[in-house]
Amino acid sequence: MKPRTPIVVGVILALTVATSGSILVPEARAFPTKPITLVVPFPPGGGADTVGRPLASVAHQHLGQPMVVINKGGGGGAVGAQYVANAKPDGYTVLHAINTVTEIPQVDELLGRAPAFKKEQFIPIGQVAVTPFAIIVNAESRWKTLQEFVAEARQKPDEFQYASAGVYSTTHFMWELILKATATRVRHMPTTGGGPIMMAVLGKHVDIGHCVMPAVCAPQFEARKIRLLALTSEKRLPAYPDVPTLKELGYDVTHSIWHALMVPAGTPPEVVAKLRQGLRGMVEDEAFKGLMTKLGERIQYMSGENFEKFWDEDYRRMGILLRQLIKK
Amino acid sequence: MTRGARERAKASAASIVFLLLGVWICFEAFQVPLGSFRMPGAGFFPLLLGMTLSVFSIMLLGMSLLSPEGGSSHVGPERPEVLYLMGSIVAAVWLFERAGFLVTMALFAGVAMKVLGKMSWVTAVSLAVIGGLAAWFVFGRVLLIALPSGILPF
Amino acid sequence: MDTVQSLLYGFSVSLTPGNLLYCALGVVLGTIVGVLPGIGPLGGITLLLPTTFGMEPVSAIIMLAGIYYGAMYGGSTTSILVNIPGEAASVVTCFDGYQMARQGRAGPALSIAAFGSFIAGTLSVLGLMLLAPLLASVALKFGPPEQFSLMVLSLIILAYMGTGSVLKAMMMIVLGLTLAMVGIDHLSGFARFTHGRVDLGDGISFLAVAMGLFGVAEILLNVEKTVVADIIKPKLSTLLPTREDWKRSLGPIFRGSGVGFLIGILPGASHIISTFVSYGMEKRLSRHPEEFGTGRIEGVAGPESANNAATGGAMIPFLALGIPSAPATATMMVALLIHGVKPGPLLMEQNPQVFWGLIASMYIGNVMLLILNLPLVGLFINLLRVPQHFLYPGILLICFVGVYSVNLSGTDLWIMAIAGVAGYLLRKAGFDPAPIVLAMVLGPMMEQALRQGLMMSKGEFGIFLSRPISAAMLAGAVLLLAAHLVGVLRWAWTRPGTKRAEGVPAEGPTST
Repeated sequence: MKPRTPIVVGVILALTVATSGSILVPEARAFPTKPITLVVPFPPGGGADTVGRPLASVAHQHLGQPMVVINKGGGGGAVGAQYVANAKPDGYTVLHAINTVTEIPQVDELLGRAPAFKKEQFIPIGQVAVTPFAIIVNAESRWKTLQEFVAEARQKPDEFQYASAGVYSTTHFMWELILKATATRVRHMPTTGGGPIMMAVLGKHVDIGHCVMPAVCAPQFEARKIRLLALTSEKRLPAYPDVPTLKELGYDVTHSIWHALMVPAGTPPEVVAKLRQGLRGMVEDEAFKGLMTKLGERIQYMSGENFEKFWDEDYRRMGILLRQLIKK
Repeated sequence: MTRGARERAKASAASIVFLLLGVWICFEAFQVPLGSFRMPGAGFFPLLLGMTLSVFSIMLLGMSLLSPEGGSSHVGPERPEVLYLMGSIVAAVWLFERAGFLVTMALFAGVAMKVLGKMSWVTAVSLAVIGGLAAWFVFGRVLLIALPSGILPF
Repeated sequence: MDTVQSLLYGFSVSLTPGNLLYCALGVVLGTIVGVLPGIGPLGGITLLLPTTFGMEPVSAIIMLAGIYYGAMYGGSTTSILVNIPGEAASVVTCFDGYQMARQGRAGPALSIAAFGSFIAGTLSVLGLMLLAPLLASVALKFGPPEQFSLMVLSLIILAYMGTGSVLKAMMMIVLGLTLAMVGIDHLSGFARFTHGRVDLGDGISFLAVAMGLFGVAEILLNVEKTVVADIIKPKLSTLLPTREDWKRSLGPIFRGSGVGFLIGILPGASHIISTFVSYGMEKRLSRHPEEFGTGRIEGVAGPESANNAATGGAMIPFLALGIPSAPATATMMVALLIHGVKPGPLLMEQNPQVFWGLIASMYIGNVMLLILNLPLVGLFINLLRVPQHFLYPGILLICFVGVYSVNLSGTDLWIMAIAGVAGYLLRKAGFDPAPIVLAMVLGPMMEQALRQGLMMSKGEFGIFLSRPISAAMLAGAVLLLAAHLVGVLRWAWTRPGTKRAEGVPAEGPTST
């Protein structure tokens, strides 16, 4: 061996010994000891980003560790959800779940394919917000109101096209409900999320689309690139007094998505409790509230325990709707 | 067999392997909905790819029978070291999550160094242990990558 | 002019000592992160984002941009030195870069990569400044049919790039596209090729395949060759490129910048496509195309410049439209949001200091990269002198960690091992596996574009030809194919029955 080698060896051994305190003692430090990953199951630029990323940005004050967001889009939310469902249940992988988590397992069942994941694979940490959609068209399109579009679409079935976030995604269903209520036939173009949908509308690759209101819609609307035809909420939004709801226009469809954080089943109860507590703090955080106000989004918190009950009911309700839609 | 014939056989064998692969891909594509041209489904593109690969394989088979192109003279390993290394990589992958990062990597490094270099087992093992510990420290502790502990308590 | 004034304003914002420090820090961290396989530029940004929370938005963005650039450069370092691409955009650099390293010319390769990236980055920032709004509207016109045709054209170019059989390359491409099909279909939610395994639901890890095909296979092949004594010990002859090198590289650098910038604007696989379009272009334009793959410096200068220029181009949809098309820009979006800056088409008007500060910082980032990395070139070269029996296990160990760290998945390691053995076998059988990884990256986008294009047209394939941009690209692809076929026919005609020379040894990734 070269004469230098023993020195190198010695240095490494010394380092190892010096840190051996932490080596040999089992991990007694409490959760969390390293950054937590928040998985957004859609490509960047969509509605989930505008809730999840601001939320993650305030995490380190309330959980002690930063929360890092990654996008795992595809399958209408299936890819990301499946990823988290099968991740190690140690609390370090969290899913930013929306309604698709309720729908996909039931869709899988109805279509007779192996389920991407199951509802039981998740433990809710809590709900953060509820966001409605706006039906939008490109600002240069000829329809100034939704009625105009509906009238023309009725005359030309299968002529026009809308964009959704994926086949059997939550927005696909929303659109099918709308088409039923308006008695029109419009072709469907699946994409992978809100960001691509907006690009398709702006680029006129589709005739009509939607976006999460107001976070994703507002920048384009203020720049006069899109026109807001209707809202999918129960009531009009105060910041946009001129935009009617679908209900007002006579189409009985309301659809908003809830945003909730979830962890894989099997996560230890202490970890779940810590996360729930942290989330409570995060939604009350001034900085977070400020961000959401700037984005125009309404924080609607529901604790993990309450959400579990809500989710059971939501699951049942969606199941009925899905059965009707799929077994056309 | 003459050199030329062996080349041809080798090239043809490769084409046949790919042809089988192409057919299998088509088969898999039928397991999911193909959809229609108006609404292409999940199996649409895979079927296209499988068919293309099959066609290419047949073309390659034809061409290789007429005039083989170059490659090495053997397709298999020409030295035992290559096999040992391959074997140790596969073993390391299999052990990685079972025995843990430190144990697996130390073993692997030791075997690899012994295979590649001319040193005694003692040297290889001691260097491997040190290297393994260093790697574990840098990646597991400093960079906080969640490496599996396997059979060790930490 | 207004633009110049704004730019100067941007410089004033970003040239403060604090921001310069952040930029430097970002660049260094980014390079380290880029050199380590597995943690690409995106991983670097997300890991380090929390550290930016206390900072001013401009400073945060500057540091993040620095990390991004640094990581891209770090990726090319490993490509050149050990034939392992740090990430997708560096794959093409392996072809000639690694060969140059084996000939003892790693120094010039690394330096040209740095210089090329710098020049390209600067040019693309200029382009960004002057043309952003205009180009954004072009980006929007690029719908699914255009994306599909671009992919087809790129793949034909890709098939062309190797020194060997185009047919074999196309088979590798089809293989790569198929590998990309594994997992849950993004549009319909059906799982393909997974046989119920949830660890394949997200698809086959690109990094695992790349590490296997390039890193592991290369090591296996090298081990075999010690008998043949083929490896030239790298000489530290020169660290910097010679005059001759410069002369040959300037063209590729400028052309690469142009190509990269334009392609970067288009939604889709910007970086990767730009690298091989540039490589293909240089090979076509060169007087010695057959030498590509054996260490021509143009093969490094062009692609490296292209992928840096593409980064600038890729910022355009984000800055001008407010739609982040890549996770990197989505992260930047949050950094902006955190400080009340709403990205969108009105960003330029509402928050000029952020917009111009970012642009200025991109320029500064490029300068920093050059200054900080050139001295490091000498350091990196020393790595090559480590004896094989230490170097290879070390590299393999890092591959293990890198691949595992992405998803903490043992499956990824299996994929890497299988890809390694497969890569070895393919090379020995006379196939060049490089197109596989590139096709893998393009696969999902190509498929999505094809399907969406057909949906738009109600099933008519004509849409790909009736839209002008799409038609133009398809025409280009057909021309390339036709040119090749003519060449093949001529070859077959003039040499009936003669046997080819005995097998070309499987040196480097572009062997036949």
